[in-house]
Parts: sequence; C-alpha cells; structure tokens
Amino acid sequence: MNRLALRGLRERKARTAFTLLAVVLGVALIAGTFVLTDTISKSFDKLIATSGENVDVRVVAPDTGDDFDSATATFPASVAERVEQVDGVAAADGAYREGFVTVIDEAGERVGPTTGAPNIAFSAVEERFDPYEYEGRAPAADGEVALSEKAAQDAGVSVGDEVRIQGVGEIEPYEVVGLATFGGAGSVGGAAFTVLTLPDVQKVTGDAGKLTEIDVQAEPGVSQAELKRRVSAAVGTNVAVRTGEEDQAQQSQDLDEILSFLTIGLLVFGLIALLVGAFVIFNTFTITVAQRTREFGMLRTIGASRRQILRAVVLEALLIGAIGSVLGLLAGIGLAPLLYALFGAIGFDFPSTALVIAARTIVVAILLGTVVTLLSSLVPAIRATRVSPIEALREGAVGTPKRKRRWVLAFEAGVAGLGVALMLVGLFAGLDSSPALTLLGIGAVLVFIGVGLLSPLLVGPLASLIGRPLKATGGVAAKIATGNAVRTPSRTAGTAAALMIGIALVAFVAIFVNGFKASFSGAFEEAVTADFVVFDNSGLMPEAVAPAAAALPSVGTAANLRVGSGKLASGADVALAGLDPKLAPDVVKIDWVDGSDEALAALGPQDAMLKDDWAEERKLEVGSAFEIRNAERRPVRLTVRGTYEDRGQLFGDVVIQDRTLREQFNSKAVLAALVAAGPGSSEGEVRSELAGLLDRRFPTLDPQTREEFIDSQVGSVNQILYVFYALLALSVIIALFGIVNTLALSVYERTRELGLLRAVGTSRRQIRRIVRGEAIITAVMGAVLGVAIGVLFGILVSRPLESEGFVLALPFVTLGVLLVLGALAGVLAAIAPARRASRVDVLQALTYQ
Amino acid sequence: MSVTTTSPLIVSALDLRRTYGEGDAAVHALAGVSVDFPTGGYTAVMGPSGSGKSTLMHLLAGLDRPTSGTVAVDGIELSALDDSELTRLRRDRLGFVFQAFNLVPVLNAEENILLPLTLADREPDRDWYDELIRTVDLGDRRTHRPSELSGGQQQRVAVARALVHKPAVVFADEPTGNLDSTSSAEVLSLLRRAADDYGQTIVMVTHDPNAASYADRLVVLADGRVVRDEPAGDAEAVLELMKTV
Repeated sequence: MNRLALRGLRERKARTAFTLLAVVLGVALIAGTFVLTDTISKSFDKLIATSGENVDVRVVAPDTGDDFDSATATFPASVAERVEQVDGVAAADGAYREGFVTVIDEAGERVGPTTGAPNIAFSAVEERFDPYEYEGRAPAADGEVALSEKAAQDAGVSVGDEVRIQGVGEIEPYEVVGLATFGGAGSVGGAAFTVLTLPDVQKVTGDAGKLTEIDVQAEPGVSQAELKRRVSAAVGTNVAVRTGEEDQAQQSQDLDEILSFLTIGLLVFGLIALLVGAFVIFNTFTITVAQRTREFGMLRTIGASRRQILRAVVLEALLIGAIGSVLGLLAGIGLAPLLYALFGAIGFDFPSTALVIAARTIVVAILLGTVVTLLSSLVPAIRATRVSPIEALREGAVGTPKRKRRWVLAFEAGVAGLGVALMLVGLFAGLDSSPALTLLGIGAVLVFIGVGLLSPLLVGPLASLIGRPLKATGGVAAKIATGNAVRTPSRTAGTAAALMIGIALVAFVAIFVNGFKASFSGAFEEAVTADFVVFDNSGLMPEAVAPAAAALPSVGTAANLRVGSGKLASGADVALAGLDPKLAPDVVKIDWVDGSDEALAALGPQDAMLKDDWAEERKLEVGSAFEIRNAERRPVRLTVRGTYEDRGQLFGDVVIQDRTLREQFNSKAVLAALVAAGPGSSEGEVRSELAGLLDRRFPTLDPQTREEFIDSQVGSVNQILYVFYALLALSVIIALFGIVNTLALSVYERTRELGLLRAVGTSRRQIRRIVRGEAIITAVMGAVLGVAIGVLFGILVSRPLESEGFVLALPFVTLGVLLVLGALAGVLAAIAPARRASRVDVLQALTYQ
Repeated sequence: MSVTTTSPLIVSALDLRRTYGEGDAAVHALAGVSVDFPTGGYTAVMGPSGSGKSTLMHLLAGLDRPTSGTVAVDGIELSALDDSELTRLRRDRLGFVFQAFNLVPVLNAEENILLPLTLADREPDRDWYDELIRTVDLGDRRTHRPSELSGGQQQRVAVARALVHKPAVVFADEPTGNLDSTSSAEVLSLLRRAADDYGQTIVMVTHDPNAASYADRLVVLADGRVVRDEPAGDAEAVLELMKTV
C-alpha cells in the first residue's frame, strides 16, 4: 500500500507538482518571514552587544523605550556631573542619542533616505563608549560632523565637504570630518545617521542642556550590579539606571517588539496562502479519490481493509505535505532576501548579515505545511474508505453527486454564521486590539470555509449567469462548458473557493484603503482651511518654517500644527496637538461639540480642548481639570475649555497651546506648517514667495496646496496597498494552480467524452474553447464570491470605525477590474489543460477504458 | 474432472432474497435462490439482463447483504461478519476477476499479482508464484505496467492475482466481456486449467455461451430464480438451452 502511494505521486507528476506548489508557497512565506526577522533581530543584537562593550551602567530617561513615536525622553545634563563623582566610576559620558536631523548636500538634496525614513543624530562620545568606526575621525569641535558611510556615498559626499544640517531651528553649515560605520555597516537598519558634538546635537534638537543617556564604565573590581547600586543612589528616581547587561537586554527586547509586528503581519499572509493551499489540496484529493473509486473498490474486494485505504491516501498527503514543506522551507530561505528587498523598496531598510535559520523556523514550517496538508486530505481520505467493494464491479467510475442532507447544509451555514458572529464580537465587543484581531481573523477564516462549503449551491445559478455572455458569443462550446461546470458542483465550487479567498482579501484591502483615502481627504478638507501645507515626510518639520512664512508679504497667517504625546496617571498614552490660539482660527476649522473658535482663540497655557469621545470616556467636561504627565514624568495640569469631533484624526485626543506642547512636553518637531494667503494675494504669489523662502532656508521642503498635499498623502498610501497586493498575489497564484489542477483532472476524466466530441466533428479550437469556458466560469465565480465577501468584510469593519470618521466608499472600478482579472485568470489557467484536451486522440479516447 | 456430489460445499446459499426499493416500487432482484457450490467445481452462472445473476454473485462474495436468506463460504456464515471480518474473508478466502480487469495502473504485473498477499502482509509462496507466472504465460512481462499490456495479458494478470493466495473460491464477473475472441479463449482456458490442475473452485457470471461452455456446470437464472441447474455442454448446447429460458 505504501508503494501504491509513492508510485501514484511519481506517476502523476503534473498533479503532484501543482499540489506541492499549493503547500510550498504558503510555507515559503512563513519560513521566509522567520528567516527575515530572525536575521534582522540577530544582526541588531550583535550591534547592540558590540556598541555597549564598555558600558557597565547606563543612565536613561525614565520612560525610554516605552514607545517609539513619542518625543525623545531627556533629563538634565547636570545628572552626568553627579554620576562622575560616584566612587568606582572609571569614566562617564553624557550622550544625546536619537534626535532627528535633515542633512543637505551642496546641491540642496537630502543626504540619506528620501523615502521618509529619518536621519538620526547622535552625539560623539568618548572613544571607549563610541559604537562607531570612522573613516577620517569623529567630530571633535562644534561645526564638525561625521555622516553614516552609506548615506554619504549615496549622496556623493566625502570627507572635507561641507553639508548643511537642519534641525528644529535654523539650517547651519558643517564640515564633514568622517564617515562612520556601525558594526561594519554603513547604516543603522538602513537609516542614515549623523554624529555631531554633544552641544551641536542639543542645538539641532532644541534640547540645550539635556541628555538622553549617560554611558558609565566601572573601575576594575566593581561589578555592574554594584555600580548600578551606587549610581542609583547618587542620581535619584527621575532617571532610570540599568546595568550594561540589562540595557542590552532592554534594547533587544524593544527591537523584538517592533519586529514582532512585522513577523505577525507577514505570517498572516503566509497563513492565508496556506489556507488557500488547503482548499486546493482538499479539492485535488476529493477529485482524485472520486476518480479512483473503482480502484479503491477493487482493492477492497481483494481484501484491502478500510484502514489500509485510509493509510494509502493519508500517506500520499503526508508525502506531499512533507516534501512541499521542505521545498517551502528552502524557498523561504531564498525568499527572505526578496522580502528584504520588497520592504527596502518602500523605505523600511534592515541591516543584512548572514541569514539566520533557527530550529524553530524549520520545525514550524515543516510541521505547519505537513499538518495542513494532512488535515485537508482527511475528509477525502475518509470518503475513500467509504467506497464499497461493489464499486469495482460497476461500469462508469465516478458516481453521481449526492444531494446534501439538510443537517449538512445547516452545519455549513452555521460555520459561515459563526464566522460572521466572531467578526462582530471582535469588532464591537470593545476588546483589546490583539484578541479582537484574533477573533476577526478566525471569524474571517470560518466565513471562507462556510461559504466555500455552501458554494456548490451557488454553482448552478452563477454558472448560468456567467455563462450567458459566453453563450452569446461561444455557441455550443460555451453551452458544453457551462454544462461541465455545473456537472460536479462541489468540484467547481471548491476550485472557485480557493480563488475566492485571495480575491476577497484584495477587495477588502482595496475597499478599506479607498475608504481611508475618502475619509482622510474629506476630513482634511473640512478641518484645514489653510491654502498651503508645508510638510516633511520624514517627520522632521522645523518649527521655524511657520514664523518665516508668516513674514512673507503675500501670506496672511502661517501656523504650526505641532504633535506630541504624554501619559495619563494610569499610564495610558495621550496624543497631543498644539495650536497657536491666535493663529489657529485662520488655518483650521475645528468641529466643535461644546466650544467655539472664540474659546480656542482664548486658550491659555494651562487650557485644553478635548476630543469629544475621549472626554466622555474619562468623564471630563468643560470646566473640569485633569493632569497629563510629560516624558520627565512631571504632571501638567490642564483645564478643559471645549470639546470637538475629529474625523480626520488631525488633532489627537487633546489640543493645547503650541507653546505648552513645546515647552512642557518637549515636542520640538511640528507635523506641518499651515499657510493661509493674505487678503488679495493670489495662490501664485503665495506659492512663489513660499517656494523662494523654502529654497533659501529649508531646501528639502516644497510648498503644496491643500489639494496637492491631500493627493500626495493619499498617493503614499498606495505604496502600502501595493505591498498588500504583492503579498496577496501569492494566494491568488496558488488558487490558479488549483484551477489548472482541477481542469487537468477533469480533462483526464473526460477523455472518452472529448474523443466522442472530436469524432462527431468538434474542432480542436472548439475543444479548447470548452475547457477555457469552464475555466472562466470557475474563476469568475471565485471572483464574484470573493468580491462579495470583500464587500461584506469592508462593511463589517467600517462600522466601528464610523465614529472615527471612516467613510465607506466602494472602489467600483477596482472591484470591476477584479472580476475581469478573474476571467483573465481563468483563461490563463486553461491554457495547458485546453491544449491537452484538444490533442486527445479520437480513436484512443473511444477505446479508452 | 467432474463434479462429485460428495465433495464438501465451499459456497452455499439458502433461500436468498434481495429486494431493492420499498412498497410498490420494490424490485425483487433475487426471489428465493438456494444453490450450493462444491469444492473444485467450475460453475457458469447465466441469465438474461436483470435475471439477478450479478446480484447473486455479489451476495455470494459478501459484497452485498441479502434482504433475507443466508450465505456460507467455506463454512463461515457471512451475515454474522462485520466489515473488517468480511474484508479478511475476501483477502484470505476469495479471489476476484473483473470484466474491466481492474489492475492498479501504477503497479507492474508482478506487483499487481502479489497485491492480495501484500495487503494481508503475507510472504508469497515462491514456487506457487513461479508456477502461476508460467501458467499465465507472463514470464517476460512481469515488470510491465498494465498500460503496457494488451487486454488479454491484463486479464491473465488479473487471473493470476485471483489465484495467488490460493483462495477457497474465485468469482469471475464477465471475465471475457472486454476481450476479443483469441484473448477470451486464453483466459477461459486458464480458468479451466485452474479448476483441472489445482482443483480451484470457480464461480463465473457470463452471458457468453462460449464462455459458459468451459464450465462443468451451468446455473441459469431468470427473474430472480434458478430455472436450470445442469452440467454444461458445448457452446451450441448452451446457446440452445438459453433460448428455452
């Protein structure tokens, strides 16, 4: 029996290959994800370890590492002096790390990535603590700079050149004295970095007299733990003290947390691909088991037990699963660099070192691929054991499909219903994001399975609908094609269902992104009345832009929109927005619930406007007072002066004075400068003056009208959309293989019939048309179901987001394109099977048994 | 070799009835058939379409269960057996030859022949196997796949497969239905030889008078009943006999 399974696989090479692919692609994405993120994690760990070699204790700001989007957490430089006095300290050096700068070369171009990744500024520290190696030297005097090697080389900047650096203040010239590498790499995670003297970093970040870290080396004989105790005693509780080991562990943990988003995100696509693969495997096994009915019957008559039959089919699945998983693992290792490139292309660069292939990767990939294949084959395998021995004696191998019993249908509907219910719970039960997303995911999978199981019912109506235009042009061939599609509804439905999944997710993503675009444009148009927006993709907008623009003759008002964050006493993050009360009413229009533009104009330094639902949740209203803590853990007391709706998510949870945000919450960067034309100034005048100003003083920035800004923001979302499409394409490809497989098996099964058709005068072209017609019907059916489910998901997911201003806008063109693509996919999948069908030898086919 | 009534019975059926459907729509495929097959006999079962001959064979081989009546094979009452016991019975005590050959396409001739032993996890008796190969005259075709063999050769493989585990009885269902006359003659002689040389009990369902003429005994069914049970004559005689049914 084992031989039977082995031989069967070898014999039916094409089918085995396509079934294998169904496993390989999904497993490859999963293995590739692990390899990619393990490699990134390992290379960072190595960097962290080498860069912290001589650091026995590190003093950091208390909230460092809590999140990665808030303002840099700092503490006063005076702490460093106290640390130096501690007994047992060999050396201590205060540093400012992870500020953001824009470096501009002589041509006015940005040095470093242009995709939005920031250029990170570090202060030069004593050599013993310095993680960098320099070609040339480290900056020793103010006005000197070392650039990361890769960024410098890309921009054609070398030692001795002059660059300009723009931080939160004015742009200033610096002399390049060195090119820096970090652990042998010319970039940190692909991002550019810039090394300046400590005073220069403090200047460009607007954090004069502040540090982010103090590196401390112990005297010989003083342990890290001992030194930590002594330093802690000296510095008090407003800073955190870590041993070198703790610091490295913390850094690598922070990094792994960020990486886990990437890992989970990619794994989801791998699992989707596996799910589609499971449909294809299930379908292929179902068909082959049906075709082998007589063989199983014969085996049963000559004494094969049910268990032996089960074993033969399951062994076949096991082999396909195991071989597919191993191939998938290998493909995944090959895929990792490609994923790396894919993310590099949209601006997320990671350092590259030797690929890390962890034991976990191998085990998970092989186990997952094998188990999924095995499970998918189980139902067909059990069906094979039900074949009665008497089948061997019947003429005509494949029995007619039985009508499903009512309870089976009820069960199938129940699966789909449970799926929708789980999704609703995930969306509306107010769970934390991770259990909610898990429920949403499981719900979606159940919907797919449920609809897949029910879809045979839809084959008849859908086939006649899709077949109608075909029939109008294709005549009898189309009629036969439609008939063939309906003949074994479960087969057509199963094949279509595999395609359905990929299409549904593509449709959903398209709907969601379209909704986001529509919501963003609508909300931005309503909330921002300024004529021009100056915005920096890397997130570093100098606060000096707005005051400079305001001084232009044609400009009426120019105001900063500043963003920052704080924490509530509970530890929850608060998104803050800062506006200048005098200027704001000229550039923004806030949708007041309980408040007014007058109230905004009168906003004092300790006043705040709150987002309506945020206020409601915390039982705050106009007149109440509350506290938000800044990064130095100092509470800032605020009084509520109004509440607003914010569909565009522009103003965060709390609006405060621009100055309060800058000074109390250390937010030195602004999100955008909003510029309104003065009375009587034309758009052209404002643009040319603004462009002139930016050219002179902020050469990396360009003025955009409000509409141009909206278009560019909406356009940048497309990049993300394309990454999603690329990852989902894998699932669609697997489904295509599934269609090829089904068609090939059907053609094989209908050899005699095809011969008969040929014998009575059907041309080869007509035969091809029949096969193609069936493929198109199957594929379009998958696309129709997919688009329907995609729309359903879109509607479901948009409900809870409605209060956040999400507008459901169906991208009809994209959805239409999906249906057309479905038809094209069918044509593509039909090529090989159609050719094979057209080459059936008439005589042989008629004597074929 | 002729039938000796003193031989122990290998297969015996008592008042077999098989009804399909219920009520007015009920079809009585077998309406009370009692028939015995002694050891070593080669019996042809004939009858017009719908006479119940295939149903009878299915019941005798334990492939189907009777509505009433009993079947005993080699002293074992079939109705008392569950599926796995029936499977074991078929594996150890029965051999089958089908109209459509039913060889496993991915196994070669030798592997197909040995399949019943493989399934039972038994070692083949080499001498017996060699003799079988000689008898079915497939010496140079052992490693060929079914698709590389002619219809007659495939059916000879099937006969060898039915004999390889020395079953108590071989059931042949229209074994020549898909064969030309030369190949038919080869297969029928082979079955004849199995009966003569090895004392193999054979029950063959056929509608071909020529095929039936190779048997010792002819059982004729019509409308679910045995209407004739007598020694088989030559093809002419069988044909004449069938005209009277």
